[in-house]
Amino acid sequence: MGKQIVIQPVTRIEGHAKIVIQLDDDGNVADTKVKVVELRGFEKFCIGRPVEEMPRIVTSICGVCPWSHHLASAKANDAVFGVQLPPAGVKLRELCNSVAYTEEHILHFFFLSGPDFVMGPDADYAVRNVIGIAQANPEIGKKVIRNRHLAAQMLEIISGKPIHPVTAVPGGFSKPLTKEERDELLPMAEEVLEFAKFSISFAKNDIFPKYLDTVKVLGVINTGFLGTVSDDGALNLYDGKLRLMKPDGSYEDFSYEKYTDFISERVEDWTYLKFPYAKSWGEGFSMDSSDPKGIYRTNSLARINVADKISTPLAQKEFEEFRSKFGRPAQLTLLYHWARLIELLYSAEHVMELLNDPDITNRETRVPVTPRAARGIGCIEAPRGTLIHDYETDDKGMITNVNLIVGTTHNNAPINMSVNQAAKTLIKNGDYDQGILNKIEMAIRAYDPCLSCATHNLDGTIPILVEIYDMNGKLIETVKN
Amino acid sequence: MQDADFIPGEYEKLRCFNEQGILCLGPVTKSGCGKPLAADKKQIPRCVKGFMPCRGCFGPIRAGANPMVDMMTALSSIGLDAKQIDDRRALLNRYIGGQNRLRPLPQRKGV
Repeated sequence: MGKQIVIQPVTRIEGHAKIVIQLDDDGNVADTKVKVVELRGFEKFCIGRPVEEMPRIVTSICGVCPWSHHLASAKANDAVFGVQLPPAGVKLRELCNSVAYTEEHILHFFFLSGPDFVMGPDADYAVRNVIGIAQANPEIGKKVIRNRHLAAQMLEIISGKPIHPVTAVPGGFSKPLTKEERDELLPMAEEVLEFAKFSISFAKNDIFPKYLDTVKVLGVINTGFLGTVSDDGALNLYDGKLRLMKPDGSYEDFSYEKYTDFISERVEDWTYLKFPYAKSWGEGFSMDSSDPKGIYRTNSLARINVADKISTPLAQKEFEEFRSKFGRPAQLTLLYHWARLIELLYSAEHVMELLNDPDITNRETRVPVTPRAARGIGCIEAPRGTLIHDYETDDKGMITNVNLIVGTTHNNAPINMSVNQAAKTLIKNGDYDQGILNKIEMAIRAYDPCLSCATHNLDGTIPILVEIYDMNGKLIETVKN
Repeated sequence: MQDADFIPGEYEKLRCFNEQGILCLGPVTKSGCGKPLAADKKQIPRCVKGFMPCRGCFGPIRAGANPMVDMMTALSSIGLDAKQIDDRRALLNRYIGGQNRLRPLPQRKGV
């Protein structure tokens, strides 16, 4: 057996992972695995808690996308209590979701994946980070930090608490928005919109052209896609129907309450992360990259692929350009970044739309709820993919069962396939260096994975292996469940 | 909730959440999270700014504090029966795991 290369930790992603690349005797890649090395346990310890507390508990799953969990949980709560929300309640939630999107897409493009493009994938790792960007382009660095800060401040004005939010409650939103607060938010939202416009033109003019060759080869796989669209087929990040697209571009739409008819999950013994696959295609599950079966992707590229159009004018223009360039569905993995910037522009425009909506300052933001035994499913497009919260309660409104499917989990199989493809293309005859290993990490980063979200599960079906070593590195005990 | 008339910005006039029947850990926590946005603005706890009750995410207020007992006393003093709260162990001790207070629950006789 040949050499083993381990990349640990994978940097500039959310959460912890390692890549193991097994070389054969000739130094070519025999096998690769992306191992996720953390464990949370939310589905277990949420049982017995009051369901109305869930929106405030699940925010702790992730400090990067707490709003997505918060809102998905609030939507599941609405379904459990069986209530219809007043329009202002829905719009305030949607506003928070869109502002959070701008914050997170800025974070991912400039802080996490941008350094690979701005500084170059082969640059020394000491400068291949956001500090490097700030030193090389102080003006851009300042803008990036300011606009992310603005988005976080906007969330603070709307809801009091931007990280681990509390304001989406069953039946609506706890705090109405005053006209004064709206007037304070408008100039901030305009500045973020300007920055979104700048980001996409900067990326299209200065970054993407340089890397077109890399985009065409790195991590490329052929899969289906899953995303949310409105009734008219437009991109929607808060509510709508799910659309599952096959690799050939044909698709079926379904309401998210029926997700178990279309998606199933599979467990492998070498990672804590589950592998969801498209059950409704009836072809089973295979990660063989020459003939993948049941594999679909989520996150930005998937949403852009399944959408027929975008409801805001500037983003629609970018959307048309993207589609005419890359077709439908676009499969190149690194196009995730491009799609993400289109979404950034859409979110920034949507924030302006919502703030200018007279309904947004209405005082009727919530309706009362009464506990009952029920099952409720909430679904939202998190920045990292389709997020589903599924709760069951007893007649006092206490949780009896929880299932969470988060965005990154959907992308688990595709991430593994992309890394495999990248490693096989780049490592030949045992030749590799820091630049090549970083390019393999880039295949992961394109998916913007959040592994702290994805490993929320501890339900006994996931095999846990604890290896205990003594101080000399000798294995003394192995504990398994 | 329907009879709670909140006026955004006027937090001083906000009626006690517990008196309204919304469980709030305010009586046993010490805030610490409220950062005034501007010098002329008051320091308001973040959740209260969002019209939501406090649940003590800054942890216990002092070494050796027993927030559950203190909280039960506070609820009793406004005429509520603290024993009626479902899942009170989790609700009132939520953020104290970092202080090494997590331990197995004692087995109750006859349960």
